Amino acid sequence: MASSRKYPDAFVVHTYGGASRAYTSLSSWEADTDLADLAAVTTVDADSSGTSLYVADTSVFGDCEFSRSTIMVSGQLLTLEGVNAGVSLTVSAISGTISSGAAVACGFLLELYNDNSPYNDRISLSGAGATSSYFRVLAPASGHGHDGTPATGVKVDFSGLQLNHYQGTFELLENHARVHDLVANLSGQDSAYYPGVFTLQATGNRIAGCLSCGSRNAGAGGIVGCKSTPAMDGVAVNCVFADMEYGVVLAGSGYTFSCYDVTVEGCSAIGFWRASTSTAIAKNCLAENCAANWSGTWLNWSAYHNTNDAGVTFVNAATYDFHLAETDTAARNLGLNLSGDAVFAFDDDLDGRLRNPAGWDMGADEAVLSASVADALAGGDSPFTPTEILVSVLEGLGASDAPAGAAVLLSLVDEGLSAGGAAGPGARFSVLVTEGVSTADALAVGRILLALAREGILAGEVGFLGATGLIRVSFSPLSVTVTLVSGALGVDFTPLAPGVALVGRPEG
Amino acid sequence: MTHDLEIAVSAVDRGPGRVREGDVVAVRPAGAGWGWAELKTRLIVPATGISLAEALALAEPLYACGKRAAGLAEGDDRTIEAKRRFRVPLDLLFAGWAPGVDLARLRNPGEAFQPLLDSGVVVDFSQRVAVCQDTHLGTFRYASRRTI
Repeated sequence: MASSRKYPDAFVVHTYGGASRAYTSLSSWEADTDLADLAAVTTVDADSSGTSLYVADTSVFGDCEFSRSTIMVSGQLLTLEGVNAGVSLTVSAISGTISSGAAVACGFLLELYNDNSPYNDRISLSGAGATSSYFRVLAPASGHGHDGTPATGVKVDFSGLQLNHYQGTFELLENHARVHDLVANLSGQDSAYYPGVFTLQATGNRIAGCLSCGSRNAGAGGIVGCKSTPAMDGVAVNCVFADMEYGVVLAGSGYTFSCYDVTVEGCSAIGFWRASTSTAIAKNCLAENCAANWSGTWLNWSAYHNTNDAGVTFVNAATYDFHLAETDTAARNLGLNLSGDAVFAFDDDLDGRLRNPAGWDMGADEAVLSASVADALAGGDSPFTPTEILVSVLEGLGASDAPAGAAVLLSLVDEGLSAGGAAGPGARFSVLVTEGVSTADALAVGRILLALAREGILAGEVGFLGATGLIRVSFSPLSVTVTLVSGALGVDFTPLAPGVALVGRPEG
Repeated sequence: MTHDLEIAVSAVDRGPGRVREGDVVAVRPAGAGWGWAELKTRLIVPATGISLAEALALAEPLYACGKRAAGLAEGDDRTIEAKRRFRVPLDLLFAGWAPGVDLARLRNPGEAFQPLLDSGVVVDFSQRVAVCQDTHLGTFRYASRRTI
């Protein structure tokens, strides 16, 4: 599995939002985490074992979220539990001894809380010595993300200063900087400039799952949803830009920029504009109802499954809900499967849900058909041989909680639901942690699965995957949700015991 | 005197290329509040006599071309040479507005010491007695040294 939201191999978490958080200003966090070398933010200054890691500089860790922040030292991923200022870090158990001189590596994650959003704020990420493993990223805190529409989740809407061509609400000026799942706008602009809501200017910049709708420039210039000026090997994926002057603009030259499953709608000037001699790539992108949907040469445009006023049907474009309607025939199941893409492989959508590999949709949203228990039960007694089980843990932590995610997986395996086990020969068992899972959550999931096992609802008996259908299963403390992703159910459901809910629900 | 804005100035110095002591880091409306981590590493300067746009522009970086952000054009060298172009030298600020402040306390990241905010000092930029230095030109904006 490859989420479009990638996080550093280890990262320190800070919080942003109202005055109860560590930061109320994006640029304050930026300044505090702008370190020369994220692969060596400090060094171990005395041989360390047990739970004390002696480091030369503790200051950068003092205000982080303990128990959720991690560092990488000598190949060990350690969880930060506390700081003894100026002396040491309290960490999860060190294996053996870490020698003095070892480098401490970490990226930084700023978790944005929707305390009193929208926030009139902006950020220019610049200067940190990032790598593809250790970089800085901004994303909503667990439970504070959008639902695929800009009226929800954390929103940053900057106004108060006229920005130039190279500025934006989110300016990514350092390598590998990323933004995930934020709603952003740029307001109050009345100029001849063309600033971007998201401005990407460095190697490996990524924005994933972001939305910007309804930003306008009252002057002769325009607002750009995503602007590369330039960003070498930059990628915008699963994003929506609507009702502004420009959706995506590639300025500058001598670089490659890719748009994957990006939806652009209702731009008064140009949807996707290669305003340069860059290599512009768009795959599975929707451009609808713009004055000009596409401009400039986009590499293999037709072969890469893009639309140009194809008449895509959205749930409600007027309210900026650009999920695909169930009735849509212009984008659903017509995209390229990018889960094995050579440049940027991913398998989720705007909402963080898994895409259907057999019927990949174009645009930011992967539409999901609804299924009910009745539907499922009506599927009959077709014999089945499960080959894939996709479990979405919808409650819990963010991707930042990789260790907790691992714990979830372990707990599942402990219940015998491993590949080749209960699910049958050749099965692939995977877990998608879409947001928040704490250790407690992991235990809860373990208990849920234990209960399922007691009820006889093991994978092989429920038959999550029919021969021609893909079913998504998600667990919460009170229910099990089964959603038909595609195809038909060929499942033999064992009757459920009282106390275990099996429900189907439509998903956006 | 009431204030309209609060300007967060760095109380820490991470060396060349990083945030320096006195850098104008962020601007927020008066009373909007600051995060607990920010209060330990920033001096919050209650400000009046300066517009939001003027204050926000103080938080721009120093570009290699030497131009202000608003004047950048195609072909200009936009390499960032310093995190911030404008800096408030803390010693001058306090000399002018709040003599006797313990700078060592201010520079201690373990303490949320806010001598201006806590004592009700408002820096009036329109009086041109605040101190804000353009590190590129070496000139002072909104400023002249004042001893009170």
